[in-house]
Amino acid sequence: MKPRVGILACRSASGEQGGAERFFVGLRDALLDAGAAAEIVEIDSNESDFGQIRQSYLRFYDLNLDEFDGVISAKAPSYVVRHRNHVCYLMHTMRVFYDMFESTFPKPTTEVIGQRRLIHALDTAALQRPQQVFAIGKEVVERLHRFNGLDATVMRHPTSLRGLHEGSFRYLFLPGRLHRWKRTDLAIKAMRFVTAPVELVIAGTGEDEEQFRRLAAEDSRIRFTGRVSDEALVELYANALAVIFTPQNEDLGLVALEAFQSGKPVVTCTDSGEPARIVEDRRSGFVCRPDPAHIGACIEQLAYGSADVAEMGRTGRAAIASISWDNVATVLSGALGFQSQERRHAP
Amino acid sequence: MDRTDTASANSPKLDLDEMMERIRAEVAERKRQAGEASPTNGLDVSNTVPDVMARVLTARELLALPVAEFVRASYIALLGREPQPDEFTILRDRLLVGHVGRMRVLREFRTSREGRARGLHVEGLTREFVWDRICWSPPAKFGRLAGRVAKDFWRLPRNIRQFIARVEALERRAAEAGLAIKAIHSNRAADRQTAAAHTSQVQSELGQLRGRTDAINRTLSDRARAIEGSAARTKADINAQIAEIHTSLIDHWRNIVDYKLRAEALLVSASPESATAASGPATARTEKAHLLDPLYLSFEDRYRGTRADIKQRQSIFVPLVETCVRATGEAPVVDLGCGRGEWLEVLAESGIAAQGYDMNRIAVEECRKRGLDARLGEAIEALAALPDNSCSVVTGFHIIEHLPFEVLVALIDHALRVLRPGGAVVLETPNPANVIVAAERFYFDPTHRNPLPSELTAYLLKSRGFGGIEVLPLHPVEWESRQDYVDPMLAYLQDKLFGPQDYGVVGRKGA
Repeated sequence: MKPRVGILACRSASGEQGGAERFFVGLRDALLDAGAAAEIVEIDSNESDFGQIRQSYLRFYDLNLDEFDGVISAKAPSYVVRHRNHVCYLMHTMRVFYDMFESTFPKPTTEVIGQRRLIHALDTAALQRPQQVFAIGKEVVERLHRFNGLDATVMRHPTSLRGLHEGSFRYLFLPGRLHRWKRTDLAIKAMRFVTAPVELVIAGTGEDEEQFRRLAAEDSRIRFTGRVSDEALVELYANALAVIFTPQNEDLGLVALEAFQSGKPVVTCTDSGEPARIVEDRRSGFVCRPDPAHIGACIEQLAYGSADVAEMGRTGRAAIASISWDNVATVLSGALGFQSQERRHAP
Repeated sequence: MDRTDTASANSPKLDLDEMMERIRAEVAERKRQAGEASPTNGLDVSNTVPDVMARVLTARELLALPVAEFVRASYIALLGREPQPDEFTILRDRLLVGHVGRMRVLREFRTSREGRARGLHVEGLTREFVWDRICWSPPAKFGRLAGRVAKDFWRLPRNIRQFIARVEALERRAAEAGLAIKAIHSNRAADRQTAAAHTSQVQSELGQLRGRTDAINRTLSDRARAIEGSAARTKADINAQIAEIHTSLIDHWRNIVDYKLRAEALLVSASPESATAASGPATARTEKAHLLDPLYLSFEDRYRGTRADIKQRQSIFVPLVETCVRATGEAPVVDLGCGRGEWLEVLAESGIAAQGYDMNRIAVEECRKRGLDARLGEAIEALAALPDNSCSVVTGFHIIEHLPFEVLVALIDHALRVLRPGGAVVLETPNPANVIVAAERFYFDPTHRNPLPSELTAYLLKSRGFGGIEVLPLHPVEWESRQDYVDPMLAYLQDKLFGPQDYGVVGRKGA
């Protein structure tokens, strides 16, 4: 009899599809491979205002998942769920009330400060209940410790994007949501310090797309592809010279992992969070100051061949070799008290 | 699992369930308020508030109901009936927009005729009416106003504190930004310095490269010049050697001719017929006269100039000769002292019949070898042998300076005699007006006698009967420093030193 495992997913009100959705699919497939009857339980989660946030917390709290033998939560606020066998594999809490609070509310009202206090209290209380708390990266663990005084175990997971491979080395590639937290503008500005005739290909869409397009309008080397299919994304990775990924306090940085899996060096920033921990400066890429001039200088080294891009990509690939869905599924099954001996496929 | 003690200090230790229940209450309250604010919610009366009908409510309960329920419940409680649909809508909307208050609605219902007639009791309603009156009495109004002012007054220090704190925060941020800007500037400066260092290094390397390139170019051009120079020298050497060989060949040839002629002369004198004429001594004298013939020709070869030069110089007389030939009915030209036959050749090339005379046997042989009509003979004897009026032109290039004066005069006389009317005599000789010629060059030829000034020659021709006398200064020195001097002395000296080295005299025989 296979244990039934429910993976709690948050269905975003805006219908935005991103890395999180891929994560749930990847986790389910890995658990299925590990011999569990895993399924994704999608519940609406709306963060558009605080009233909605309160309701979202309540919705997960009131959820009855007794039919499942085990439950895995990941995103805020799904971890408030009440279940006898609950493990949290934490992606992130609501970051506007944590590390992004100051930048989101430069002049916080007493009301918002009260809201933050409530969210911190809720999360702190809720995250003490699961059997065990894992986190997708060191960044998340450190934040949890700093704000909530809680400990968690780091367990990175790989991308669920399939077919990543190494092709030629042609252009700089920047995939992902076009949002100010991803700091796409930093890469665009860095191109002003790049003399090499190298193209910067930006894939994806997002709320700040217009602004980024305006910023890049003067540079004919910068190209926006808009939303691309998974197959096209894999090809874009395959033929990149290097991947530019300069977000602010990124939790996991799947982009860096995907780049390494495609054998590409990664240019990231010291304050980019997890990518800055994954990338080894000057060995598997560059970890720059968040300064367009410095990033531009690193790009020059890559473009003019004074840095061996292929060798850097190989170093990166070797560094992430141990990160696998297999490992994630085994650890989570173990934490839920299931043995993962039934394998559908050979590893 | 005991992590409670590590929980964050800034959040109160609260139980999750307790917090969630509080949130549940808040959410419910929000929903209730939202329902009150939304007119559409009020229409479906029977579904939302079923218990309005179930029992009679107290005044307090009545006032706490959502607006739609309040309207219905009020009708039921005070008038004992459901509201008509339009009554319901009008009253609900008036309440929603705030035209009337709930207390006023209840008071109107109670005091209305219908209400008084029904006389229904609502628990606590009278107490609510009394309390409402007290609340809206002037002292109560004042009290509320005073209360608000006092509240704001007590808040004042906190507001000031908050304001100061914000200003301080802003100042801190400004200072941080200043530091960041400074850091950026210093980074920029460092980058610029590095760039400048790189640039100057590249420039100096470029300079070195340019220097090296220049050196290589110099070496290459030096070598090219050296090769060109040595090639030119080699060519000049070869040319000189060829000229030398050519000269010696000609000399050998002339010696051979000389020996041949002498051998023939000796054979003739040794023959029995000539032996009787006792011509032995005469032959010997003649042979002695020709002893220096090869030497003289070699001398001429070396100093007179090349054959092409001489032909080019003499060709200026061709138009004059052509005129005379036509004027004399195609009579031949006679050239005295024809030498190597340059002039005869010029005339032949111009299609003019001519015969030359020279006393040098070898020269005559050379002319004949070129197919020219040259004859052995002294100028004066040859001329004397010609019949009267038989020639168009008599020419003598560089012969008169070799002749004794009386022979010269005789030559002029014979020339006049043999020429047809319209014919002319042309004589060319070194020009002693050029002091270099007069003092030095004239004596290069050991057989020259006296320099003849052009005035003298012209005078001789005129005095012996020629007319139309013309003196032509010829062959000025090719001197590259020649200038048009304004100073008369310099101009005179330049002419005396570098002026014409020869002159020609033309004398015409009148009709």
